[in-house]
Amino acid sequence: MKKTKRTAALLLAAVILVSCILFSAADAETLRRGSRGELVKKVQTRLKKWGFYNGEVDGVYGQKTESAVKAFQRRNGLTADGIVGKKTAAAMGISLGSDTANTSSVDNNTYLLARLVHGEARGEPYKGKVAVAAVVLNRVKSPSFPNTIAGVIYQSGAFDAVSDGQINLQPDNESIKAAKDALNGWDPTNGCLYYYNPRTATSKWMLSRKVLLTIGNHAFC
Amino acid sequence: MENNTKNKQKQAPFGAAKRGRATVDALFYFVIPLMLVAALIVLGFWGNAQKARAEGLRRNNEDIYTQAYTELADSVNSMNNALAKLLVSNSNANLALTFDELWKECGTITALMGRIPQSHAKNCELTRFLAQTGDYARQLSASIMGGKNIDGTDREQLSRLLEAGERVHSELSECLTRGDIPLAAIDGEAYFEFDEQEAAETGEKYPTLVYEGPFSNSTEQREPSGLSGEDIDEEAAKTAALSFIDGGALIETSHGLSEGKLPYYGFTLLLENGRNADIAITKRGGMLLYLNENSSTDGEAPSEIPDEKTLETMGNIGREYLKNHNFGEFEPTYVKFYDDSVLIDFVAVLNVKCVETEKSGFEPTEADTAARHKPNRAAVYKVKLYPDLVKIRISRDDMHVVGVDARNLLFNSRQRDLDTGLISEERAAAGLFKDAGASMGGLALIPMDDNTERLCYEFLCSLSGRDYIVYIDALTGEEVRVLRLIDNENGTLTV
Repeated sequence: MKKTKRTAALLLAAVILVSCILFSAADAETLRRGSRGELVKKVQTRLKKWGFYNGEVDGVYGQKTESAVKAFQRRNGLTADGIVGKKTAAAMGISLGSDTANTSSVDNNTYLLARLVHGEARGEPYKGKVAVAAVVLNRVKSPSFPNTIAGVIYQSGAFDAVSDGQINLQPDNESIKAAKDALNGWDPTNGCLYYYNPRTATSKWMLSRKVLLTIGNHAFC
Repeated sequence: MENNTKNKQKQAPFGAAKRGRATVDALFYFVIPLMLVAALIVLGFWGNAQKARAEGLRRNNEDIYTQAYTELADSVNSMNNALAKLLVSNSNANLALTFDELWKECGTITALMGRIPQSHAKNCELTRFLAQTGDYARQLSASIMGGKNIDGTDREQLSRLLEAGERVHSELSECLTRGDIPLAAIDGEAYFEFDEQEAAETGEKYPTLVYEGPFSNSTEQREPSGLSGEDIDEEAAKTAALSFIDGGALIETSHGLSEGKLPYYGFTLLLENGRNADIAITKRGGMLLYLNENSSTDGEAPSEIPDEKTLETMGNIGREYLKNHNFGEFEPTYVKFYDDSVLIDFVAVLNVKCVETEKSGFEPTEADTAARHKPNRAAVYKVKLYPDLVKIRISRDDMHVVGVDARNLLFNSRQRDLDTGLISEERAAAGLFKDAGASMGGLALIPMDDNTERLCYEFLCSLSGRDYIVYIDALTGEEVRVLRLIDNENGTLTV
């Protein structure tokens, strides 16, 4: 009986260990021989541009693509396994995330603002996302805050998404659009400089401010 | 024989069991404890390495913060020196230079304020004081360059700014001497508690500046001048909301009254094309504040830039929309392409009767003679009112209006008396840099930093392949502003 228990415990430990390894690997999508789709096309386009690939850009990860990837990996000091994982993708300037927004035409400030919107308001209605971006821009225009978008966003303790690192998530298309709409002048907040979630906010100073409007879960003041 | 066999049969399992127990015992008493000890040793090393890493990061942070505070203290000291010099200086050239120096220093300080580990609640008043000091310096510098002198009120304000600046410097120096600033920053939560108390106690710690500028109190407190009519209730706002939609629509959700500078009723509409739209109707006068049709973000945005003909059609669609919804006469100006739509800036157009007059002291130039300038010529001119701006977004799919933003118009629109005397276009053109190839863009009213507006001639200029708009004051002939136009795949950018 004791032996059975020990064996079970060992098995459990092994299962946990293996699941941990699998879990850590699961978040990194990879492209390998047999993969198909837009991301493969992206990889092929880049490899062709840099002279590693001379086949068709057809979105099919075949033998030619694999050889080209290996050549690229060797040139860039990566393990030449012919698989596009996180490191190889990063070296190519490609993101493997499935919900990746097309950010090629977005400037630095728009992208930073979109990252904040995504980190702070990704469960909010679209108007609420624009509103969060508008608060940042209202702060930039106010003498009481730093006068750049980065200055406002990274001001100490200003946004939870910065403190908890959620700002570093890849923004989706809707967050980028919301940032653009705010930069183009749409301000659903009517000039507000603050917002908070009444269900989670604890700051007495913040809670004492007069709420001018509510959008989704955020009270704006 | 049989017994022996039985004994062997009994002994064999007994021996195996004994060996098995010995293995388990060895595992239990030696291998596992050894593994645990080894794991503990590894954990110890790992923990130590992590601690060293955390220490390194903490020190690194402390160094960055100490550097920011030290530079901040230095810059505040330089700001004070500039303020002190301004108190005694009596030469306009020197004053203008020192005001520029003060403006630059305040810009540096404002940037440094964003790098120090203090929450907004703690330093908003100080940031405000510094930003306004820089803004004030810039306005005074521009005023001196425009030929004006600073007066007693300005000197008195500068003196109060210096007093406050010296106090700030002394507090910063004290904190740096104590060396406790960077440590306080690490314990963020406790620090924030302290900030809140401080904020509550902050009253008239810094002087209130009276001046006109982008960061002045008067700019912040400015009320919208374009609102007119009586206050309406929510039902009337619903009717008004539907009237701004060209196709059929239903009110899906009412969001009630939102307060602020422009109190408005917000609604979500269900349009006949199946999409939703957010719309805001002002409480006063039932005017359109914004309309935004929610389009899908999944589709691929068209990558090519719309051609001239499409843009012209879009301009006409926007112009018609504004005319049909009683905004008045508007002209398209700048265009921005994004996602599935095109955003066009429309400015109000006003017909004004002006008389061309000679500007006193203005020496006739060859250009004047060449243009055969005739003074006292009365005519009706179209003036573009740049402050009265409405942004219209038009869908690239089916060319209908999907967005309207009238905030600028509602804030800035007012009755203006522009029937005035002005210098001729030729005379204004004579004020341009001679190598800049210029074409006339007409008369325009442009907003200035000091919350005033100036009537200008607008010239499109080109120099070394770069495009500009130069504004020449239509009354005095002086150059008022230069904008650079940058065309890219996203539209026209003005800087």
